[in-house]
Amino acid sequence: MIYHDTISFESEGGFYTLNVTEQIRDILRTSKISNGIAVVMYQHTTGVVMIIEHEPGILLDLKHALEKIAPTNGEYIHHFRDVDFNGFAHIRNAVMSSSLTIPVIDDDLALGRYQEIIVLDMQPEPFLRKIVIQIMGE
Amino acid sequence: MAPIKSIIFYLSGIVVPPLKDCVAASMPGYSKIDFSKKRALLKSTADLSMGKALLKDYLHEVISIGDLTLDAEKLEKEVLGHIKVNHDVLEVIAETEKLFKPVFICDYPSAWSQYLAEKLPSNKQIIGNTIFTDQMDLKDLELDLLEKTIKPLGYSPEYCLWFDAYEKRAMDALTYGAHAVIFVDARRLRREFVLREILPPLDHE
Repeated sequence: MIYHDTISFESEGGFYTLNVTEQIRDILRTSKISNGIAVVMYQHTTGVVMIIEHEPGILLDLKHALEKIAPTNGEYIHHFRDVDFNGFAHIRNAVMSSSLTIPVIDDDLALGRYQEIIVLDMQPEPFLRKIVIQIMGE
Repeated sequence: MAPIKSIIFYLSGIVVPPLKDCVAASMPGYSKIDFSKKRALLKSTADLSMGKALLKDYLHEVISIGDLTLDAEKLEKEVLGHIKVNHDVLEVIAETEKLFKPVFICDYPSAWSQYLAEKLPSNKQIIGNTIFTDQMDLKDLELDLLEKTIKPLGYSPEYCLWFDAYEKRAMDALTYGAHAVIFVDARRLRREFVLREILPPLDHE
């Protein structure tokens, strides 16, 4: 059986995070799939989905680490076309992950005690955003 | 780690829903409202929380943005009707009250304080210890709020533990020098107290 759904949200932009773990659990319950896999994909190119502990210190550390990898005010060839100026967000997206695969075992996501599914949007401005969830199994 | 001397809860998102969610739930067809109007509504809600807008004017703005047919009084009742109290969280907070006198920050209009007191009948101490953001003369609901909350407590930020459902403000609290926790649910709230040895673990933990 294959089931899919989406989660839409209004990102504030900047370094916007959203914990979607419980929403995905709700979707899993609706799917009535007990065992299989769940795929969670962020449908944009300026953000990621990740599994981390939802702790503000980790988020701040991540923000600082990403600032070193792709600085917000860095120079990006992407900006030459003069359309948008979010090169840092695209590079961070490319080096991180747009999707996750999570085992579904006995009616639940097989997440560890401290693991949460967090969406991180790095687009500088507020936007409507969407993640897609597909669950396959029986 | 410095010992925690004060615990601060940003009520919205922890004990009661965020004001913006109560307002959105009172607007039929909110999901179809233009994104720019939603942003405008968000800004107006923040202005109300900071005392920069009158409740009456705000309600009229919501009616206009949502193209609603009800009057301001009925809309206010609708919004108040969407305030649901998270009693599981209150139970965990009550466990800490033997050790701390928690401070609560509320971004609802202070005009609703009586209504909130009635909604929280077994937790009148919350209202007694609540600071309403619309009475704080704030520049913003983030760093300025942190400073104006923590400084009067008389403790250095490192002695304060800030709970917030809004990630950005929790991160700001850390940057400010306080300890901070992103609120998820009552179970994980308790876990945070156990990790800091403020509460003992439950038998099954």
